[in-house]
Amino acid sequence: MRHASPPPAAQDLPAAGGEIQAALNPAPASAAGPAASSPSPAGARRGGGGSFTALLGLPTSQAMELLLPRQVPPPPAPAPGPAFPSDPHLVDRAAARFSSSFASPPPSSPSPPPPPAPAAGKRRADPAAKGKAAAAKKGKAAEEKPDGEDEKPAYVHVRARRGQATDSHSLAERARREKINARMELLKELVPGCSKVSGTALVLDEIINHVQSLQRQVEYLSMRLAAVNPRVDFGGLDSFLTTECGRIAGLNCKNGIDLEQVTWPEMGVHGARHLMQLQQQFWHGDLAHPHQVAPQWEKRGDGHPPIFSNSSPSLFGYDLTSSGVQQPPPSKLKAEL
Amino acid sequence: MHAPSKFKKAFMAQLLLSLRAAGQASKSMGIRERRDAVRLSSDVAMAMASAARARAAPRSAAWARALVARHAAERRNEALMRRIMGGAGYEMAAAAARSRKGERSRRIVRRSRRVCSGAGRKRRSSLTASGCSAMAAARRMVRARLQVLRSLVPGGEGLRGFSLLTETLDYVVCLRTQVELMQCLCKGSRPQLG
Repeated sequence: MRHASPPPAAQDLPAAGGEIQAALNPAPASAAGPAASSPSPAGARRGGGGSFTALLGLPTSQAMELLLPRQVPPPPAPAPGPAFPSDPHLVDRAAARFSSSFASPPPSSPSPPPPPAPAAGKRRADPAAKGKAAAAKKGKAAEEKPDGEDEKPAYVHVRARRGQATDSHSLAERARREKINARMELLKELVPGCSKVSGTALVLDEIINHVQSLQRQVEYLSMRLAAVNPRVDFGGLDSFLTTECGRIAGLNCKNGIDLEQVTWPEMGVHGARHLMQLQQQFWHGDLAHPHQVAPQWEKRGDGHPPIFSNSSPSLFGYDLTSSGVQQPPPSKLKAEL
Repeated sequence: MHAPSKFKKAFMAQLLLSLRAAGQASKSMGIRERRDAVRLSSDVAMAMASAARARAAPRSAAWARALVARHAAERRNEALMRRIMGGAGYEMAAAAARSRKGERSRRIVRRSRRVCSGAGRKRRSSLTASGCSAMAAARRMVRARLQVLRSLVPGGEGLRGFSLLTETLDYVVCLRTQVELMQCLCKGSRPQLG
């Protein structure tokens, strides 16, 4: 799984791209105040309000165009685009002239708040515009580059070879196929005896066989585990694993929380408490049946099992301190981990 | 390709805890029931461990949720799962199991839409079939295999193509770890008996 882990993250990138951008950008944009969180037209308007001098870079007619509609509807600030239909157009036009960065939010995802790149860009261009009106051009050139960098993860670059179709549908289809093929390669690497065969169907056959065999093996092993100790119901297993389990739980006592939180996030604290309860039952259960445990301890040459004297809070402490003593028996199990 | 040892450790801890719960629950059981209990607890342990990993490094572990939900759908598992996962966790799982019905109906809708809009598709496929039937046959074979894989991977029924393969990848790695750890347990518990 070690080299399987990067690809999923990379696949999540397009979706997370917006968030990453949003996470990267607010550093300058948060200084601009509420403009950071608002959708782009309103944000541009407010950002424009802040960087009034940036308008100096525009020709007068465009600047007036930008200015006038802003004075007409004063209150509708928090409402997104649909509240004022004519406004975004104008702003967009001016912005397209001001910088090409308005095209950067991917058109397919309108729902997440688009990256506050425009506001940030204006903010960045602001000092330059304050210095000189002519410097606005330089600011524009400067801000195009980082936006271009931001844009990159949002798109998958597919290169069309000679004779291949270049319309967006076939490009998307080809990108999808390439993704699937990459996954196939990974699976081929993972499943034994799969690297020899070629052809998708045969590889899939191998994968299916492997999964089925693994599932059957789990069935068989659980049968064996169930048959191992029918009388004591994992009692022997328990006491054997007591140290190991306690040790692992002790090592993971910080991780125990997120270990339990996992499947259902709401479990949260309750899950952690549950884990603790389990542990306590565990030890108290051993207290209740010392005769079961005692031979094991003696076998280990561990004359004085300090659990019996210890209460649960110091449970982990005990495990951590005495794990060195008990190393020999669990090391058998440990070695295979 | 092996799972990282940290994951194995977490998995092992979970496995031991849930096996112990299963052992307490199965005081008076036949061998078959006990086997089911062991199977269930190991599955739940695997799902929880892998979901923990998925939470640590963002990736999807839909199969884990589906696996737990599948087990939670059966009434007789309720007591044991409550023991293993805690009450709240079991409630979530049972809710997920109940909501799978909605997913099924959504799938039916999607399929019917595909059938309705499949006229052009059929024409195209017949065109290619006249050109090269081998390719169509290969595609049909692949589709049949994917269908089988979908039935094997828990929660794979609603998945297609890429996401199905991703889930399969994760599932295979976890299954392998499960087998390994259970073998290790079998091996380790035997000397204790004798």
